[in-house]
Amino acid sequence: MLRRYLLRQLVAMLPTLVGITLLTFIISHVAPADPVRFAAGPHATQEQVEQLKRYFGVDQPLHLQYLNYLRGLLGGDWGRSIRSKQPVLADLARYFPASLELVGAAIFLAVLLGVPLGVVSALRRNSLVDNLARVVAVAGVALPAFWLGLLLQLTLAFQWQLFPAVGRYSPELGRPAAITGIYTLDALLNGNWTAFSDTLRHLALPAFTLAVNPLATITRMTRASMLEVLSRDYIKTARASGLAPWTVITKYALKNAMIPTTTMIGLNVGWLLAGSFLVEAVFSWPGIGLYTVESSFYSDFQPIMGSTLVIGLTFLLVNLAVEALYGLLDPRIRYG
Amino acid sequence: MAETRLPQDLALAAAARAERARGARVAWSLLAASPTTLLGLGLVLLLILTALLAPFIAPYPDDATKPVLHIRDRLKPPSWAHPFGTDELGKDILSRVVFGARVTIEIVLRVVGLAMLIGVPLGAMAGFLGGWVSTVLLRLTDVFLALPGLVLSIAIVMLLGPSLSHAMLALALVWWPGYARLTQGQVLSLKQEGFVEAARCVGVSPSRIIFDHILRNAVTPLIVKASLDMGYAILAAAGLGYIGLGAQPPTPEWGVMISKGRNYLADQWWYTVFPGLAIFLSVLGFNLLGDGFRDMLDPNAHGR
Repeated sequence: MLRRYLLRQLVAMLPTLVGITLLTFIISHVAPADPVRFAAGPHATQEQVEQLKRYFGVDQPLHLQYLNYLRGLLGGDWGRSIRSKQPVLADLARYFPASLELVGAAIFLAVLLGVPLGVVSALRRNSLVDNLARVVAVAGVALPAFWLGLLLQLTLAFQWQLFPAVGRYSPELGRPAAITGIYTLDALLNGNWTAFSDTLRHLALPAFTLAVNPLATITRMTRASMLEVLSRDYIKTARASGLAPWTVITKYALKNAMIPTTTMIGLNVGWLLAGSFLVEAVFSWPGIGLYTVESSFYSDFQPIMGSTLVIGLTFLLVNLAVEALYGLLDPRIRYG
Repeated sequence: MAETRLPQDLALAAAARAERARGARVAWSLLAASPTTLLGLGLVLLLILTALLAPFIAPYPDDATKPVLHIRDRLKPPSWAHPFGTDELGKDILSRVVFGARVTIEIVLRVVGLAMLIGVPLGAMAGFLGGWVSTVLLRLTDVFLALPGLVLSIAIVMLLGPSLSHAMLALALVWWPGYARLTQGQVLSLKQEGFVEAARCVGVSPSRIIFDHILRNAVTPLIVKASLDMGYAILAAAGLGYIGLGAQPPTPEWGVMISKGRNYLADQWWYTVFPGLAIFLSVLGFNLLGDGFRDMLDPNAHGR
């Protein structure tokens, strides 16, 4: 049943996906900044420009260009970066794991801190913890992530030298042998503990910076839905029948309260991929954010459209996965 | 014909005035009961006043508005003469942060205003007409909402070329679907309400139903969304400024100032810290105010 449901959802995603490609196509093909001229250089002859136009396929009518573009996307040809001269898909494959690592670590931190904080502040309303959670929640969404990142660099990296300020690994140690492209994981898989702690230390500051915003929303959401669930009759019944308070909270309340929180986490993955643009720029973290921002300085459109597509696709898939998770959390939910 | 008003009319008008005054008092008491909302209101008022009175507040207005250079005052730490220190051109950072409030207010009004100007009529239209119009709008907004806003706005800014006005335009183009969806939902549910039905039965014209009965009641959730979005607009515009796709130097925009200050972060912390603090407090103000509005309008949200 679940499989059929997910398949149908995947099909339902198709118009949105086509819409996204149409949007990226329109943006990249009506660009006034002429990437062909840029690639050709200032001294190119008209003939060379025409030749390049044919090479990039921009000499055809628009609807044909779009069909070519779609055919290319499906066939794995996502265009070519004018700056790096590499196929965009190859570039993305190189940069995406770094972003995935960063966003994954940030979500992990946010859930690890946010869910307990939300639960405790719901159980102990108006206590010190609750007020602390409120400050975190309010400040967390108002802090500009890039500024917070700079402050952390200033204090923890420059002044106290606890963490490295930029990059993914120490050059003198070298990067761990690539397996997944997620360096902390690669180091673990290689059993290389020095590299693991090194990459983890590099990951710490950017991941924490990125985690602050979702930490705030997850804390708030967990607190609100815990309060909601705790007032239900089945909780009273469970308590009245003498179950241990811990069991009531974890098995009865939290499990049900996690449904809205899970939605929040799913939405956050998409927002974080976008938020990582700024954080990656601050920490020189070589993910798709940095790739896109750097491409933007060269009016290099194909990489930007490629990143937009990858992020849109990831966002849709994550939300699909979240819907599948609901069934695990609440067995009453049927995928009809 | 105000001169020939009947006594009943006058009494009705007085009652309406009293009702409005009561409404204002209730609103104020709700506001005063929530210290965080008051703090938000205070911060937003502070931002507005700073923007309005910038030339009088800033100790060195020329440093924010004219291309000046004070070689001997380069990168001075905070002092009585320069409470926020100076930048690499010897400009007073406090003055530039103060004038940055003007840029921020402009961003807030333009981005949210334009997004509403596009989104609200489209959403209202889709809500009224239903059918294929609403299907098309839903599909269109799906596409926009499937992409995190910042990514799409970066793409649009690049298409147009980096500048503050392009950044504002791009953010509005990315944000209108939220308003369209919200308005459409509001219109759909209000259309079913008894008072709309009643108005229709007594022969009120469709355009009056739309404007007087439906849109007027749809305004409150729009205000809540707008005040929260104003905070996000500040964050997004500052972010675009930081990566070089928004305002360009020497505009005293806070994101751009931080991006410049980054080069001096290790030794001249004040360059980065103060503009960031200004962003933080402004966003905090709009968020607290928006949350407060939401709690006031939604009694169920109390105590959460």
